[in-house]
Amino acid sequence: MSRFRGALLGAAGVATVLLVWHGLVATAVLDPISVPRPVAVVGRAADLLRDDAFQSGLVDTLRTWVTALGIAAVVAVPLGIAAGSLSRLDRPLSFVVHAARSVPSTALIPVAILFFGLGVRMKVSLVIYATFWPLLLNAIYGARQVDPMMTTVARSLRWGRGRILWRVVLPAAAPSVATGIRVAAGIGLIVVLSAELLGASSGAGVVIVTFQQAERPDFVYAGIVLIGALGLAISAALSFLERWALPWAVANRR
Amino acid sequence: MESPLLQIDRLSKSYPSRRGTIQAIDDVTFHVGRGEFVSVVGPSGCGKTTLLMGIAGLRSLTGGDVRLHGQTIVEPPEGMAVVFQDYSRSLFPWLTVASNVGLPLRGRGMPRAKITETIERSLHAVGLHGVAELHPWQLSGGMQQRVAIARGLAQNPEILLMDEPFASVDAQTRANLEDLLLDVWSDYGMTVLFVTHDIDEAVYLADRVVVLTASPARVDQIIGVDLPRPRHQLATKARPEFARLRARVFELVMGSAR
Amino acid sequence: MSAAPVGVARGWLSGLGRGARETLSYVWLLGVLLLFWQWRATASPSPFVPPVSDALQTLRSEWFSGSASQLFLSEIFRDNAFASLARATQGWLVAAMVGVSLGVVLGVWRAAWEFANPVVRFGMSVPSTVLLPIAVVLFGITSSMNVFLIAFGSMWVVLVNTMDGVRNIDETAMLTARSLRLSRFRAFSRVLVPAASPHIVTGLRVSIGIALILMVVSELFAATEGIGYYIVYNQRTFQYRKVWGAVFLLAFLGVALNGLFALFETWTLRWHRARGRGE
Repeated sequence: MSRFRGALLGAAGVATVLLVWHGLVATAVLDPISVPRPVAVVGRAADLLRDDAFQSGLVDTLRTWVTALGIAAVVAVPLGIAAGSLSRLDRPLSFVVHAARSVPSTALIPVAILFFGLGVRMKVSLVIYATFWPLLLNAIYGARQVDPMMTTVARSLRWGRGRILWRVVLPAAAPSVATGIRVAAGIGLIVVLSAELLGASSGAGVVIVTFQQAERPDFVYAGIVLIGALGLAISAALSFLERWALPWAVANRR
Repeated sequence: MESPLLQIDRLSKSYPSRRGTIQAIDDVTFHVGRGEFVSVVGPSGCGKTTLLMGIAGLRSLTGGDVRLHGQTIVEPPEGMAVVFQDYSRSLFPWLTVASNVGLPLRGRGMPRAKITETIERSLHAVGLHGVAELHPWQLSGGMQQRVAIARGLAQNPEILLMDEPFASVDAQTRANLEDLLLDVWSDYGMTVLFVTHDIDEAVYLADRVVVLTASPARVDQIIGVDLPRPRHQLATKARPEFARLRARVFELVMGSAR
Repeated sequence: MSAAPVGVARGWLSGLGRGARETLSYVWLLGVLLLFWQWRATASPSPFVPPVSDALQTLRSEWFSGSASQLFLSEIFRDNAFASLARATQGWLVAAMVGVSLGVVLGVWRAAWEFANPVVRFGMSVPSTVLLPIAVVLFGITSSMNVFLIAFGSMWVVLVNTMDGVRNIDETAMLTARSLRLSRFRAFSRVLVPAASPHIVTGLRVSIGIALILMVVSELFAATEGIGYYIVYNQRTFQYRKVWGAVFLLAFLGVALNGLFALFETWTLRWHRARGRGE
């Protein structure tokens, strides 16, 4: 019964926001030229979904994002776990990571443009740079907080180093790595869209900017809503995957 | 005969769950007289803590009645103080010991000087000196529980409810705390309702022992303890009456557990 | 008796040595990487990546060449960095206040949380930079645009963390507060807020990083002054050294701000860390 009430209240919340939005535009409190009505936005969103240019832009964005994330993960996660297991390296490496993260990766967009021009390589390298650090940091942290009890037990069973790494350290660090992936995914999406907004040659962000320059705010809003929905879908999918692959981790967190 | 301070009448508590209703407490009835020390024991998981929370007005009741001075309790009443089992989560770590003890006194118009004096007196009564400006986590477990008791004393309660307060400390500390509690009880002249799973402790401390059945809990028997006071850890426990009472309670508890 | 001052001096020196060694253990890898960069850049010069020394020199000459009375801050610094930092501060403060207040309300009042949950989840999922075109449409190319974006983007982390902190309060703590018959106000201010503060402070810390990112991005996109504007301007006029100088400036600012916040965090949450260690 209470779950039903929750869903009902949630729907009421969304409805209220939409109604208030509509009201503010209809009464011209918000300038109707710059702020379209919710109905118009929904309509444009549907148009966008059918539009070829937007579709290919979206695919481009997603492909860039996944590729970069994958490359960064393949390098950062093993490096982080190895560094976390070796006490010598984890301190200085964490320091480097913190120093690098102090430079907002978006500030490097102009630098990346200098290097690579406006093409896909520029975006991929930027996303790799931006996602590398949270992945590395979480992998280091995950390996470091492995309960020494577990490794002691493994050694008492006379397991070799490799086996301990594979069977003990990796599963114990997995929840932290999963968090790192989730954070990096969010950051990566922001960075790839930022790069597109600031002058890349292709992608969903470019489509949105084009509409802004053509003074079609209704399409701009629609694009944002769709990207928001995309972000929601991605985070829901990642949470689901995490719960499926690592059921014990969620239980421990409680 | 003087009317009892605390009256518990046909108290019952049940929870809805996926498998239907779970009856935690069936029908508990007993009274606590002014100045008495009453222990409550029962098999593990019989609902002792739930019972105490219900009596304290911290959990709602499904049925029955709890009356303090004849007035029904619906929320924590004036004149009643509670000491919880888990001192590390009941004492607030962001406050000093003094602030913790004084917290229930604030905002009631009590002059600051009187509050400070009450805090000092309470800490003194539990044997703590010089710890007022420390934080709870800087103290040992036994000392933290003393602070919790001091916080109860600071409220100048008529009745002190205690939920297995010495379960989380080691045996030696527990013995010290038991004797401290008896001292404070006689000095302050208050009433104590003491829930425990430790049968020895229940008999050692109390005037009467309320023995509960296994879940769903009812009062199995109420056993009077007429051992002489003041009690001593060695002398009292060496008496044959102690062994007899202890065995009786043990039988009841273990019997209903089966 | 004369051994005493020698002992003190020796103790002080060894303490200094220990401090130096500890700092070194953190810093050596970064130093190695920077040296590597320096070596590669001087060995095979590329116009796009100047040596570290050049970048640092540009950093000093562009931003820190003012007179002592102006704290060595150059006019460029005062024109641009102040503007950027002012925007970031305003935006972050708005985000902090709105985020914490809303977070507390949603954490305490379950019905409000159920009402707002879908909207909040959606707002969180919109990558803040995508809002840039809208922000420009609404506010034009003004400081308000930047402040709006920074505030809107940083608010969510604060909100979610505050909410989490409030909702996950230890039940024993709340039972205790009730058993002490604390007034609503007192239970709120002396128990609820302190108990939730570790989570709240975490949210505030993460939001600083987000605020900095959005400060830069919004200025890269549309501004008339600021560090981001400076970067874009010099990028378009091919002044690569100045671009790198500004990147280093951002790095220093980021480290400084995070360091300041870490100090604040240490001071307010002493009890939390110490308690964690004790257990």
